Amino acid sequence: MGGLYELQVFRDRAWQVDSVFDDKELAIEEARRMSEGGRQLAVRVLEERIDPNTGRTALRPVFRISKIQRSGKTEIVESQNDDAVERRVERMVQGEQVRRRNNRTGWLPTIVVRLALLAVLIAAGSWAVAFVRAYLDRHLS
Amino acid sequence: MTDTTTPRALEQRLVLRVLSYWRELAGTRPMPTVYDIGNPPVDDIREDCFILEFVESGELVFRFVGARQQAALDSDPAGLPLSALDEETLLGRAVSYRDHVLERKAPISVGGQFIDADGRTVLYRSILLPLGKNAITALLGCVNSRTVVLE
Repeated sequence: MGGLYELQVFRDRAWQVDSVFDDKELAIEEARRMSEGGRQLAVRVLEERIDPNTGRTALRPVFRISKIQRSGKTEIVESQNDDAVERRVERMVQGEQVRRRNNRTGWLPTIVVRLALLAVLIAAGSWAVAFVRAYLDRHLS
Repeated sequence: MTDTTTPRALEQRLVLRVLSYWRELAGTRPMPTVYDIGNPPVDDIREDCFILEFVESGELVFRFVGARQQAALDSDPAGLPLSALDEETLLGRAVSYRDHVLERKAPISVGGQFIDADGRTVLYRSILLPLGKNAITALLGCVNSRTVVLE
């Protein structure tokens, strides 16, 4: 067989071979179709090339499509370059994590911190008043 | 956008439909078994499909061959071993890369062209998919073609 294109899906935290095509266009079409189907979060197509010097098979990414949940919506990122998608997805994931963190740490902690500071101030004030009273009682009576 | 009306697109659509069917049957397993498919497979792909099954001798034997493939061969090879098949037929081409499927344990789709017995150029696209539980015990295949006049 001539040049082959391996379609892989990211499943159970690893890339797994799903199917193999001798046609790049068809492999990419199927990758898109699988991604649109909703079950796969990441699908990629690798081109198999046999190194004429070593006779070994080398795999080169030629297409990658990833889905990521952002702000409650699903976004699809695709590229002919595996690394480019990887970087973009990473940026999107980081952005989403920051957004979630900000949402999580929004108004509630601020109020808690302010209340705690207020409590400390009240306690310190009460202690100071009690101290002054006790001093005055001891020295003026 | 993919053109879904050209002969090439129609050929590809069949192959991808069979692949979806195979995945659906497999569910969370690596592959479905021949018993999941039954005999014959679902209606809309039945005519273009075939099933090969390993027998005790280790040889692959046709268990089912769709009507369109039977018509192309002028006979029904069901029950015959693979070795009885002429390689220069559409079915022969569709099973020619079976060793790669057995080795990779994954569906493979291959297209190509050949000159048939009547001297016509036949363009085809095929897919072979493994079936089995712990090991591959059978293969599901599907192939469609068109005859072209080369100037």
